[in-house]
Amino acid sequence: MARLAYLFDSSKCVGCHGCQIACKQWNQEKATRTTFNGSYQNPPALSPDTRTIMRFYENFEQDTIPQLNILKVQCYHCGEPACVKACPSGALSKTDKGITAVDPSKCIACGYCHSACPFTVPAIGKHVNKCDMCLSRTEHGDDKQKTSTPACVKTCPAGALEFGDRDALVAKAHKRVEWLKSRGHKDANLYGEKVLGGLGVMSVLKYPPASYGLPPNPTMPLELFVWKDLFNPMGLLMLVGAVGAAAGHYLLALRQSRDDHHHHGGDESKGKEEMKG
Amino acid sequence: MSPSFGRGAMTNSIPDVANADVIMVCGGNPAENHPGVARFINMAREKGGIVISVDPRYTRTSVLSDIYAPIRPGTDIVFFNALVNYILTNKKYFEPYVKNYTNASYLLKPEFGFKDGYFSGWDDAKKKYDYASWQYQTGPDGAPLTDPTLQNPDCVFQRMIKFYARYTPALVEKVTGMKQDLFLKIAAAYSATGVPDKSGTLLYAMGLTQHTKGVQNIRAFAIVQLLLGNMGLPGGGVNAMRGEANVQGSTDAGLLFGNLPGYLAAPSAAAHPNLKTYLEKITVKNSFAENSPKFAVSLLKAWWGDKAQPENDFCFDYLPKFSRPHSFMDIFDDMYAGKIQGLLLWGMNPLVSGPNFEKTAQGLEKLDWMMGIDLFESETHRFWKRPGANPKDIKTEVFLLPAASMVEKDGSATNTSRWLQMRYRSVDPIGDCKEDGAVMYMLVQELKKLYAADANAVYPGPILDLTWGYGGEHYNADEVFKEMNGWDVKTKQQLPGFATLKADGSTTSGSWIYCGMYPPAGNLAKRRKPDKQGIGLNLEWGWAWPMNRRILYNRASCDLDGKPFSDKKYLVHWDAAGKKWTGIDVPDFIGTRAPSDPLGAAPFIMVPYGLGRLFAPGGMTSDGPFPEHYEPMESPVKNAMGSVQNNPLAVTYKSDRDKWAKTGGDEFPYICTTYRVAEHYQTGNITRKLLTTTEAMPETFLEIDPELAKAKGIKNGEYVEVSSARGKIKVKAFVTPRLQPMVIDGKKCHVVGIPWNYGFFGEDPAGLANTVTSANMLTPQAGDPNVRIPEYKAFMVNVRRA
Amino acid sequence: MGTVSRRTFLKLMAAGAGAATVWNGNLAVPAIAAPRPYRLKDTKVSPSVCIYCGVGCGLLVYAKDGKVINVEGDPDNPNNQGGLCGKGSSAYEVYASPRRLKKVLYRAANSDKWEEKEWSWAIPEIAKRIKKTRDASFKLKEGAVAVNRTEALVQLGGASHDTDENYLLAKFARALGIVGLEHQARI
Repeated sequence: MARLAYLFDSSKCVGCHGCQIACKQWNQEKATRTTFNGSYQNPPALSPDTRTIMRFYENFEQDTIPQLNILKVQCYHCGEPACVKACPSGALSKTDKGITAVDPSKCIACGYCHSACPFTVPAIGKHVNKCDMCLSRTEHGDDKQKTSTPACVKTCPAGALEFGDRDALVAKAHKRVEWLKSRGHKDANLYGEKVLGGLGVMSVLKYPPASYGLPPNPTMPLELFVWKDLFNPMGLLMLVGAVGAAAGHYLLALRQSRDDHHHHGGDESKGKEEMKG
Repeated sequence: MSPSFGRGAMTNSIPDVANADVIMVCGGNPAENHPGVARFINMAREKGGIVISVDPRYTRTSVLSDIYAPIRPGTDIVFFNALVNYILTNKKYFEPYVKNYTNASYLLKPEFGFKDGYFSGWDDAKKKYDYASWQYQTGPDGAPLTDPTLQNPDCVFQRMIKFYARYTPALVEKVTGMKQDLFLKIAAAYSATGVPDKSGTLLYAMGLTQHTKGVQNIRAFAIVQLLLGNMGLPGGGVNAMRGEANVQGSTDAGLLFGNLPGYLAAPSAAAHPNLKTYLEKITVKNSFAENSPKFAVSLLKAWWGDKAQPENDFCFDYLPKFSRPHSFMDIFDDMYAGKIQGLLLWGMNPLVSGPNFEKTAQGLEKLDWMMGIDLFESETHRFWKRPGANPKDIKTEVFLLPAASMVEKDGSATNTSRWLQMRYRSVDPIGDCKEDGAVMYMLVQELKKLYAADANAVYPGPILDLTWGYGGEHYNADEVFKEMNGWDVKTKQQLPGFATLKADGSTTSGSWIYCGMYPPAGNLAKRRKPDKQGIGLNLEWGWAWPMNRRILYNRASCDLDGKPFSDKKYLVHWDAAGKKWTGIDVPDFIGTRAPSDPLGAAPFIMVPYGLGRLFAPGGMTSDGPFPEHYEPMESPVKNAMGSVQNNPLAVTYKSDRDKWAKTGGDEFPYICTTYRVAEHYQTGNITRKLLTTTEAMPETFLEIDPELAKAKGIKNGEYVEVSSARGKIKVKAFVTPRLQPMVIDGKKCHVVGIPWNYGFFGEDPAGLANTVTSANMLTPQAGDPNVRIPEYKAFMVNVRRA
Repeated sequence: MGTVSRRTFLKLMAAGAGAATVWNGNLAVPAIAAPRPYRLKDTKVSPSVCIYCGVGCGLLVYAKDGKVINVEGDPDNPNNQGGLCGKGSSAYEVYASPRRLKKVLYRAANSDKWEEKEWSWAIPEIAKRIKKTRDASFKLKEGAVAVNRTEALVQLGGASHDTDENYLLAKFARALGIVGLEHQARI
């Protein structure tokens, strides 16, 4: 089965929060109390109640036009998902269509997935919560009513989101990047085509990834590679839980110290507090 | 728009935006206020279209633009008029269109002129114009004299060249703050649509209308469109994006003091003492409006049925006649003066949406009673509990009725493109909620009972004789549509269209522009066949007034002989063999009127002689036949155009709460504008009660540029106090580079902005009830002289750390 | 930074304990993680139109057992092709919000509270007041002209109602002699 993906085109997005609210509405997640925090962005971060948000970055340089860079943020459904690798309980898995799926009943809320994720996406409440590409729609829905389309993609009033065969979307995205370059956006790029085994959510950007708070070259955390790919096959499977936890703890601590040096935007740290909840 | 083209409605449609080659977004912010338009803007761009965003703020719409230009609030006329000047001097206009489809060739009376900020006829003592000189020279038959070569110095075209010469690129920079080179880039891009196979559109909303010269703002751009031949084409037009789901439908229905349904004039005591004079006055010779008496009599027949007979002037006297304006601001000025006792409030929250909050609130205190019906309790309903008020001192009785929501009733909405689309009842109303139609039925029945029982009732006829059925308490919207469409009185057959209406009382039609939506075949608004291959006309999706025409004035897409100017912009053509107009759209023309007919090449059928008006004669725009720039009532600078500072006819009020900032004064040095955010709807009475939208945009804020913030020691997210001559509020600051200071006439000016979606009764009543954060605490009651829309978009404030 | 609170530590211990038993769970990947219930099964679908801006986006309303359970965009509607903005996406909540008015409320003169009332009480009371205000202020003539109007009773609103209701609002107000008749187009 071909791999499925989202394509987010930031050059078409108007940041109306439609995807964010449609996601909540469909997945029946509760709205949280927020306050104005100096940006159009709210809630400030992904959380156990929020699977997708719009992020807003404002820039201005003398003699240029202002920039309002809008990014849709959710699970990126990496081709090589660190979270699945880190998950000790089998709550996270990769489907044959490339979707990083969640089984809350198996989740023990350890937070390894959150720490391992290069984008710190999975949010831990009672259990892990994150985008699953609306499996509850894509598995059952009606094509004519587009209830088989993920809620965020269906609702986008600007046509900035698409869902479908990843190869086809990559081809389309390259055309969009070329188009943007022809309109004078020399830094236009496609984010997520190759990194981390290829992301399942790719973004067409007018400006370099850093202008959207995205790490230019996200990688699987080295400690995760060491832990799972080297130690694990050598028999650590038999370790007692407490030892495993200690090692996991080390992984988590390492990861968090990395996070602290890695600022996406002013609101990120606040969101993380909530996610650790 | 109506003075320019004959009708006031959006000319094209939402999906049609995708057909534009250049999209000018000025005075609107579709990405935030009409996000559905974003899809079609993106489609137009992918096909090669250019988007120009002109706005004081870099908005979420500007994100989609190819050219962004900031502009000082309240100076659009300077920008548009300079565009006209550019088009005229660089000969960018589409000549056959200007010569044949506009009044460019009409000769003006030699005494018409413009001097020192006034057009001819100004009476400084009376503060009024005498419109005698704002007229064409006419021949013995009353028709205007013309010069088809456009050379006569008195022809409209030559007068325009003279009038507009003052509006130079240098003036644009001086007055609007927009850099000259940026202006020239925009002028070149937009005027490139003055060729047959290209079209440009204007998308606007309240950013152009909410000024003391709102109508002239629209006129200014309508003139651009006429010069470039952009009217009547796919991807063209002047497109007013309406802010509410059904503000088009409610305007069509005549819910304004000066209108009856279908834009028939509401009778006034001075102009229409009886039916005869009324019918004479609404008849406009040499235009389709010469049929107006048929529409008016059919309306009276629909309302008062068999009681309306020729002998009693079809019950014309049952219609109230007004003697002075009763616009929104006039009503609240009256209320504040204690002249109003009862208020019927249907799904509206004027305390938050009206200018000068405190004046509105104190007006409400002077009412004896108020009836409100709504989905949610609003600030207006609980004005007696507003922060700072003592309920014990407020006498007003309030009845608040729970309404059924859009999923709990059948009905329809008319969208901004004049499309009528149906809603269907999915479930029964929750709780004790009722459909508004059922509530009106109950009220009408009760009133009929009261008036029938009271021998001393005052003038009970209009109520007792009023026709009112519609399924009674089991409200049936279809019955209403049948009445709006109308029928033959004798046969009771539904009528196929307004061409069949009669002035003799033999037909009914409650709203003639909707005649044709419910022919014998049934309710055409129920149609659901989208146009998937075509250019997005969607003739079989719902129904559009008039007569399902989707792009107004589409006759203008053809040359004099009825042949399309360009196959790329094809809509209709004259079928010589079949002797009729035909095409992919319904022709907005008399279907069998040949191009050779005297009026066969006159596309603007609601205007006498059918030509678009570059010059608006006779005071139809009371403040000028051409748009002239005047400063907003409150401004940081003197008017660079001359000694007349403000629109000489601007509407202002004189109560003790109507206070003003001094021009260029230090007390209120910053320009403030108001707007909405994508996440909230109008006064927020719905969306501020919902959790998801409130989560996304929880509080109001003041947008402020980084330079001003630094000077004032204001940090992003901190509280500031914003004050105007009317009031002050405390809100958080949003320091954003999307606003930048501008240099106006050598003086550095800062623009700040605040959304008006907020009040004092939101999602968290406990936490938010203690302060009023409504932007309308600051705004003035001042308005446009033609339509009396308030000036929300440009006024002066001060800002400091709170 | 690297410090771990007691709570996190306990979580980690639990994680470790779990790890021993389910460690292999994510090595063998299932095609689909787990079957998910479909919320729209056996629902009645009705088209509607969004109540917010003037674009006229189509809605599909999904109801089950007499209650609306979901609202989303109508893909056939040419105005939105299934899309809805942030406001439009909240359409379900408009129906389901606990803040909806569900009862007739009345606030007496100088009172500081709402009282719940019945329709059967409210309609006659409102009608009485309409009649009283209208009749007391009604002007039959101005000079020789029959003006037949009241300026003391005004009506506001309409843009949030249906087109059919708007027409009735105009008819209702004019029949009462109201000349102060306005709606949201003006502001």
